[in-house]
Amino acid sequence: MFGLIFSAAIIFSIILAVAALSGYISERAGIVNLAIEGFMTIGALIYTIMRGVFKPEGTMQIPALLITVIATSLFTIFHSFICIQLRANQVISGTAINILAAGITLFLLKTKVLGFDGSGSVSIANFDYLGFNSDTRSPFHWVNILNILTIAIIIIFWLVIRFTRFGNHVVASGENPNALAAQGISVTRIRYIALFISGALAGLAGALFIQYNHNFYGGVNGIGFIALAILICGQWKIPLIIIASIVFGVLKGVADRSALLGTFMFENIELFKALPFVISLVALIFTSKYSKAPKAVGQPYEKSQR
Amino acid sequence: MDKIKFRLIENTPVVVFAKSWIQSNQTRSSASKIKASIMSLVIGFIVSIIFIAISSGANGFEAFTDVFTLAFNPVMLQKLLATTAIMVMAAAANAIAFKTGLFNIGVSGQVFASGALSLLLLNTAFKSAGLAGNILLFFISMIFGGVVAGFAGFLKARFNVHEVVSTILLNWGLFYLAKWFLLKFKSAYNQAQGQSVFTTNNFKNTELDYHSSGTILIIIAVLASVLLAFMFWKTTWGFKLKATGLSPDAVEYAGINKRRQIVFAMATSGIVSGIVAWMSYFNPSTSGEIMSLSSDTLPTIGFDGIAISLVAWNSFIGIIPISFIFSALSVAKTRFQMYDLSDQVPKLIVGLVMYFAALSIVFVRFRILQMIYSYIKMLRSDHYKLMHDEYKTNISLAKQKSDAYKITNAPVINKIKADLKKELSELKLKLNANDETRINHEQYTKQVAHLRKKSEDKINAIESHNESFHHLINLKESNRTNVSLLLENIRDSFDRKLFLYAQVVKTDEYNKIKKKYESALHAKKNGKKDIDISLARKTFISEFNSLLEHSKKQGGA
Repeated sequence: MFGLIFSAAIIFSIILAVAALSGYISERAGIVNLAIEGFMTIGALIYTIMRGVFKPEGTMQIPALLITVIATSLFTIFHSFICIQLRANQVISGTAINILAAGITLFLLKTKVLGFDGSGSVSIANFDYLGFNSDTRSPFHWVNILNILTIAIIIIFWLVIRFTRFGNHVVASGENPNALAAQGISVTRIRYIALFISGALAGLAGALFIQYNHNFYGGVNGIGFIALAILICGQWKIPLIIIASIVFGVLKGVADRSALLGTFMFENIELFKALPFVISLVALIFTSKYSKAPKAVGQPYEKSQR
Repeated sequence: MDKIKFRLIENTPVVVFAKSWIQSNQTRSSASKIKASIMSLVIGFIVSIIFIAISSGANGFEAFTDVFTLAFNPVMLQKLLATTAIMVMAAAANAIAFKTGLFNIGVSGQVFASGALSLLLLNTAFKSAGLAGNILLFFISMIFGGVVAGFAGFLKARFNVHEVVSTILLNWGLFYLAKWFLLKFKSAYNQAQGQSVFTTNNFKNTELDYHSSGTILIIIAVLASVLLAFMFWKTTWGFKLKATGLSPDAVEYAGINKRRQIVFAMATSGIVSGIVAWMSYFNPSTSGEIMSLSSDTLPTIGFDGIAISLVAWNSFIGIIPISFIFSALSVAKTRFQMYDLSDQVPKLIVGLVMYFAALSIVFVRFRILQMIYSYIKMLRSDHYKLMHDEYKTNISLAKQKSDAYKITNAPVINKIKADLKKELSELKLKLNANDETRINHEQYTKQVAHLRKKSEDKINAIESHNESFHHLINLKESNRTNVSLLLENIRDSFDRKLFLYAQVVKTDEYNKIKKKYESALHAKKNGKKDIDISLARKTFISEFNSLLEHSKKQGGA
């Protein structure tokens, strides 16, 4: 029982951290990303399709995941075109992407195409995904190639943002795009790339979520929005974001497995499901006053204003 | 004669008013908004038909026609009206927030939560209250919705929590809490065994029945949206909210409490979502709308409302026709299953239409008629004809020359190619040889690359002397730029002409010549036969043209 809850908590922490970092890079580059939920949904959809196509077992999981990540990052063009090229409202565009993603997914799931049976939900069988511990009750069940790879990606991401020229450019594009442009670097290009990476991370988070949930009925249960709250609670700083995602991951994992913790928990499962959202809100109330968002976030970049 | 008649009625107050109304900036901007809405709707539908065709191979156009035919069947009328009313109110709730510069994504959660509370009350306190109880529930839903959304507004005003994030979190938090409440007190309502909750049973005996409730709801919705439009148009209350949305810094200088306006706007938006809850859960026309508790999905009405409000540019009147179209799709959505499509097609369309509404800034700038007009004008202009003829003769000449050059040099090029082939085959022999001429694989690839490059260079050297070929390419390029320049010139001159015309009409000289012409007209009408009207008109036109020329020169100087 402890093993199940522990594994769930760790997996949720990883999912939330990846999703929050997806929001992090786009907001650091100066673009409000409300569309994490939508990108995650698209990632989950593509991953579900890929599992039907590849029947991935063993090493075939890697190409399935790779295609998911690439396809989701291409899907961000819908968002970046509006935000960067047309300079329209980024919040509205994000919401539109969320609704569009839900619409596409629900439509495809309920139509007999792409290997779906038209029932509106797809269940994904549990499979080894190159795990080292096949016992689901063991606390180390979460140790498998997928999760290890994701943790490695998180660490590489941190190093890239912290120590490379590109990371500096991304941060500058969200703080003072004019200074970046004065150095002869294209703000537009940096923002496009940042959104590509954001989409890739969100697609990965969506795939991980579906792999954990075993059930896909056209959404990711608001994980993308919790990731947004984590991003704000974490003050747009990667270490704080990771700490916050561990806290929320434990909450979410316990809530998800609360049925195992005796009859009281089972009868009040809805209450525990509400808990992460309520606590997010409370955390926001206490942290929002001191929040230091990137300065140029939400403002479309115009060369003529320099 | 018609022209003269029109000139006479031109100065009557009605026509003057109509003209000034049509030419005013406000009308033009709303006309461009209407154009953008229609374009985003049309493009959304077209793209979804294409998407459906690609993904499932079904004929989307046929399916849509069938669905709309079913939706406008009189049998569906009450349901259609009720759904329209619900969508109008949901869109209005979003539009209030948008006009104040806020974004209430939480309409869905507010609807679900206030619906759940009212449902509990209905099944406990108001079990036998009938119509009076229903009316009381209307106000309770409104108040609860207002409190929830107002709380989000308060968090924004007091704690700087962004309303988008707080309303989304409230959505899910309230959804699970309400679900918990409903399941906890399951014994209170009749269907104790089921997970779904039917809410309309208690209203079967009141005056609100299936044959009239849709009408009542649509009347309420239209009245409410007209009232809201009036409040935002004419009252200080609405003006303060609008001003907060347009310029949050300016309102503080004007002495308006910005924070209070934020809470007000969110609360009003929540009150309207309370009405949505009452409409969707407590009326028979939506065929006993089920509050589904079996899966963790929020009601989507709030998100549909965002889409409708955006497509209608947050106009309280514009949301009514657009809601009508979307609700027609939604009431007949089961018909899509006859075409092997899912009943989720309306969601796909809402998503696509909303996406195109988000980029409708493109459609506002898009001037189709002017584009067609200037293109036709360009094709008919003498300049273009001359240019085109010249281009045609030049290009045919250049083509002939280039071809001739190629033909004369063809043997040389062929020889180079043949030589290359021969040398390559010799090399291959060396690679396989047994004596001292044998070379290893690395040498072989190196030499092949070397030989290939040499012959390519030779061919390029010959081709680069083919000036007529480059000339041909240059001709094509320059023609393209010339045409686009011409098109731009025509567009510019068209705009300039309009501008000049507007300038000249304002001047005193114009009034003078106009009066002269009009007095001639009057004289003719009064019976003086010796006046030649056609002559007067001619002089008027020539004088007007000279005025135009004059002001053009002035503008040029």
